[in-house]
Amino acid sequence: MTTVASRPSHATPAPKKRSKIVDYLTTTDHKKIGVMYLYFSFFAFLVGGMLALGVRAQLATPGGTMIEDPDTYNALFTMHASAMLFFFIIPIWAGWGNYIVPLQIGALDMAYPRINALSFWLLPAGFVTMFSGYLMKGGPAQAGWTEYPPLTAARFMPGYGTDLWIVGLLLVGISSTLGAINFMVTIFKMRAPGMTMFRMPVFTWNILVTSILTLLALPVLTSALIMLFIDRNYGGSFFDPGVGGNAILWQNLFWFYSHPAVYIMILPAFGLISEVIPVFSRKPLFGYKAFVFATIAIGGLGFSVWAHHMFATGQVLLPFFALMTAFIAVPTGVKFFNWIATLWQGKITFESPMLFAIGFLTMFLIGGLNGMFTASPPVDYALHDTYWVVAHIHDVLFGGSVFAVFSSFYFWYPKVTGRMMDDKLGKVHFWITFVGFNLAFFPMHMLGLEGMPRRIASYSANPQWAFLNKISTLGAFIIGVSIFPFVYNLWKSRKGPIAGNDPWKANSLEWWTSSPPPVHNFDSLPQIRSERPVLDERLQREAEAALAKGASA
Amino acid sequence: MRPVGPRLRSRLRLAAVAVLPLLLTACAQQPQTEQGKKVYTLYNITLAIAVLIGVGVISMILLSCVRYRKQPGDESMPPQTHGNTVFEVVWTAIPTVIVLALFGMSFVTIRAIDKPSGNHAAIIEVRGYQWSWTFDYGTNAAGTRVLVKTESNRTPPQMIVPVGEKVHIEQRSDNVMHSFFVPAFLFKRDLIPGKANGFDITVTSPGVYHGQCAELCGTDHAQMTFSVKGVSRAEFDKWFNEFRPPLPKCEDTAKAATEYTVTALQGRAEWETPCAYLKAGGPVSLTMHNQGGLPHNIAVFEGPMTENKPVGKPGKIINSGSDTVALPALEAGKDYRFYCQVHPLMEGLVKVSP
Repeated sequence: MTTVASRPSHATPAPKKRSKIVDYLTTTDHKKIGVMYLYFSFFAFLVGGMLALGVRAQLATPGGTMIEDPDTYNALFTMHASAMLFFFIIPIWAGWGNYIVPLQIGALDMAYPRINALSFWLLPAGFVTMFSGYLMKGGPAQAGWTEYPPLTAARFMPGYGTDLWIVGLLLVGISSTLGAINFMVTIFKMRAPGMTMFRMPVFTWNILVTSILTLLALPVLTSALIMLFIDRNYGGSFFDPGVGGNAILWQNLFWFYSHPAVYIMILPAFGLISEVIPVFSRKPLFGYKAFVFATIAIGGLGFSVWAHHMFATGQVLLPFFALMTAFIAVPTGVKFFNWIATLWQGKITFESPMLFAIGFLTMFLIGGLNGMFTASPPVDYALHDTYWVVAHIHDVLFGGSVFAVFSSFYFWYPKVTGRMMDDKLGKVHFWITFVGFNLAFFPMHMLGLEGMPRRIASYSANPQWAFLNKISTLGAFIIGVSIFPFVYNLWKSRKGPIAGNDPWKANSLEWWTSSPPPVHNFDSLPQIRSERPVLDERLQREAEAALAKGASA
Repeated sequence: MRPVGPRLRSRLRLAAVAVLPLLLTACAQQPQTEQGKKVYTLYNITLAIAVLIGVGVISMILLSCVRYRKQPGDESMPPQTHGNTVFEVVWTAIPTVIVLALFGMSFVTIRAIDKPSGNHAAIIEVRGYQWSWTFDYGTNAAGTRVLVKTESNRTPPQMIVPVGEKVHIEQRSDNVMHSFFVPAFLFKRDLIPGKANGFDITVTSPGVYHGQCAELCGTDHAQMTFSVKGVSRAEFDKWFNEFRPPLPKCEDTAKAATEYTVTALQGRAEWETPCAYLKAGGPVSLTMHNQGGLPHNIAVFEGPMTENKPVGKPGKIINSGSDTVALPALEAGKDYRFYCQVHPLMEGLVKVSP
């Protein structure tokens, strides 16, 4: 039997404030880098959220009187999407990946700790670069996060905003690429003895598939960004038909990355949900291998569907992309059935991480189902570039990824800090978020069906859209309010009840070590005989204890 | 197995209420074209399947949450089911069948909508500009070019089509991408610079249908609206044959000079006043003052710019400030117009008086 060496409490004497800052600035510890990722991407989430509230405030009335200048509004939604996608959702999973993956596979650290630090520090650099557009004459990028040329050609979009956006995103791209290589090497080469590929936790599996997607898809976006930069600044002619370029080429290159990027944002969320549901149902994940293969299938199919963002151009092979897009529903459906089968016959408890996971299941389902409509080219002719699509991306990315992000905070906070979060406050947070989310995004389906295009600063010609827009704006502000109990909870729980190694009676190795883990992660490792090593040890200990009790009786 | 309790039933009812709005959305837009009706049918089939799956899956989630919640004091482990090959094969097969069926229907509908055909009652060339449209029907029997556009950039242009007849729309753009979108037609297609695009529509009932650009195209994207009016064949012929291109109204009484300045409004593709007043008979000059925010130039033509009879040299494209073009002697009574060549809808009249 393996035992946990009882460790002295590592409440080391509080270091001086300055030395702590220097420590974080120079650290190569995957846990500290992970925490910095979390802080930074949560900050980006707040920035993106404020920009979204600006968008919603503008749309509360048909005339859009809050923002006089449409360019300011165009910059708002462009920077909202850029902050949320590139600086919040993608990095926050890189943050949890950093913190959790080495722990889940029983490794000391990431494979390349200094490259890991570089990956992180490139992010704030990218953020500052992109958002410094706000200091420039003409403002930041304002052609939407898709930056379609020729609108982004210098003759239609002068000023430095777009250039800064391109350079900022290039820095993010380097960060993601380095991070992806680091995750792959770590996962392939640094697993503890006994941790075979098919004993890895699903979260680690999903981070692995995500990293492979990033590594394969990102070079295409990087090339496209450089080409756009050359077009704008050095007289290139890649994308602007006015000088002999091809406008559709950008769309193909952009979506070749940005569609897989959707999976880069959602697969880690799937992984997290697949950790939380088994723990709080007290059952193994139903069909573990099928689940892993479904993840790989989604990753693979993800490369053959990019042009479903371009059905309305009439310039793509519709049947091929429609069929491939339809097929994505199959592995996703398998995952849903597996999650439900995991719940089935369980002993389910509803602590905050589980509540957000159930929220994820129901809300992401809506995002999957309304995706079925736009996967059909003729229906997409009606719905493309309307608020239906805005509803779809938010159902998938908010109802999906963001619910999973909140679940991950409640789930892993005890591991990172050694303290439990306040569960009651967590439930308050959940219900406010849930109500706000549905009010904000459900009406958008109907607005889309009524023909309200996205990215418009006003809709004076269609005042009948005002009612649904007002509901949506109300919902957005409720989501805004929901952040307060969460942030308060994060702050006050630093003095919450002591968590212990394994407060949730969980399965994977991160729960074996102390909370927070020591610098070297593990003092000992259990034998790894399944994908639930910590549970195996717990059951064995309980069985031995029962035996001992029986013997002594 | 415990019987389904009243609490559960009330939760299921709650779920049913939650999907009601989704059902209502089926009636949001009634299609007004033959092609749109096909899209509408496909939409409704997809909606029915989506609602069925949605209600089924959400009920299963809620059912497991209610039925299998941990009872207080029960610390035993539930059955540790790791998987079941039969179930997993079945629930891989079910979505495969559903998506293949939906794909089949989409495929048939694509064919029906995008089928090329040579029999058109009219061919209309739609051009997108920053930020309006022109609808070009070609020349009528009287020799007039039937070209519909905004009047002084204020009233959105209106496309007139005969009801019940197939019309072909050709799409072109020389500037940025736009998208021709009429919600009531359940259809949109992008205008792509450098590539001709097009589609057919058959409007089924008379009426005026709102349309607008659906592809972000810059500052005034939201103002890039238009409408399509379905009329009877007789009404269409009358309109087509009696078409007169509207011109900006400039008062003749204004004082003519040898130098005149027109102003391009801050951040807009619009002249402050689309009129310039110049003296006939001698060299004159026309100055554009660009208030900034958008690139403009000024160029003078005899007749519409499309007829390409330039008068003098066109001015430089500037982002702000002033630029002056020198013009040769103008003749009173001739139709002179000035344009910004970046925004060809910025049309103004040059009034020449002795």
